Amino acid sequence: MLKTRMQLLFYLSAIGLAVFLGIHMAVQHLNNVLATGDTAPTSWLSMIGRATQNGWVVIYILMLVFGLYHGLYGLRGIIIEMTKSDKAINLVNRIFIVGGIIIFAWAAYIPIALATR
Amino acid sequence: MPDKETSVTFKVQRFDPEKDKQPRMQEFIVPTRRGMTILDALLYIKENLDGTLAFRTSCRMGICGSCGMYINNYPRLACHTQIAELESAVVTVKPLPNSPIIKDLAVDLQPMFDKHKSIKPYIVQENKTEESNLTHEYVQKPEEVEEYEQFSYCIKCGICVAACPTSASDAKFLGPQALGQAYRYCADSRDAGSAERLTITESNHGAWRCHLAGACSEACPKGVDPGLAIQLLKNKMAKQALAGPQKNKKVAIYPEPKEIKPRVAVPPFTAK
Ligand code: SF4
Ligand code: FES
Repeated sequence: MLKTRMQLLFYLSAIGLAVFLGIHMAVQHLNNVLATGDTAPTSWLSMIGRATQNGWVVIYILMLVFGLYHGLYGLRGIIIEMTKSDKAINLVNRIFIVGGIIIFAWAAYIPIALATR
Repeated sequence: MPDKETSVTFKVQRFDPEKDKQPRMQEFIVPTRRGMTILDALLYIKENLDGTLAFRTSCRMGICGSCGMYINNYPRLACHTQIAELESAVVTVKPLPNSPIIKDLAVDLQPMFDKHKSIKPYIVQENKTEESNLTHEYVQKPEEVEEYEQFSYCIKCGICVAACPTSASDAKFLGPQALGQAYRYCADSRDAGSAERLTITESNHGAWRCHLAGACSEACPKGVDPGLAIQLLKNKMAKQALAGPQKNKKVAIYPEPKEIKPRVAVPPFTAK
């Protein structure tokens, strides 16, 4: 039941994305409404400040994982719906797995590098 | 709306793959009467106007599932659709979409039947000898019958497949008919084939390709609601993926009869 597990992860990643995008909205764009205390949350200094805190690094990486998985799995679904041959589907799967890992490694490097500099 | 005095223009799609390159529309004027169905009109055309018109029909009462057609741009059973209910002086009749055309209004439903067969549309038994040669009768409570009853009304007309947007874009998609029937058998307390069946329905072109457009349920002339069946099937698949194969509870078997009572004799025929 691998495909079903992957589909359930697809839904789970959507929930995760909603939660983390909610945090992102609350911290960066609703600071006045929610009175978070940060008067310029989108300023460079404020962003760099958050990027050096471990909690935020975890949030950024989880957001990246959920966003990548949800986006790529969804796109794969659209492509395989229009792909008749099973060989082509296998190729699409491989491209998405390798592509996903490369994008993840590249994008996760930035918050990790910022936090550890 | 046509009354008993009026006639209706029928625009019927004609296509003979042996002669035609493209389908074409042909017009017929059909005198209508109260209660007349699209099938009655097609039979009128065949008997009086053009005997070469090809379409499929059998029971004329919404039971055999032969007469699915695309009537006024919506998939319907021709025998189950009255001309009056369309409230239109012009009626277009085309073959069902998403299936290859054999001739005129007759489509090839074999791909749908093949998909239906692939999901094992029968009660799977743990004991394979018992599966092909049943020796017992099973006790099924009314509430157990309710679990699948609605879904067992499917007449395999293919109307849901014609309405389904995923079937339109993915010819390999199992489709609402086969997936609905997969749930019908998984939900049957006598069945032991869920684990096997659910691995078939989770294929690349299986239940997860359903986007819940709901067009199948809206179009189904028998109220089967295949869209609901697919969602319930997804639920079963999720349970199997997370917690392993879920077995139906063992159904009771009727005890062997101790004595066979003789049949009550048929009373003699008395009417003269
Ligand atoms: S589910 Fe309904 S529309 Fe689909 S084949 Fe069965 S009876 Fe026809
Ligand atoms: S002729 Fe049998 S369903 Fe219409």
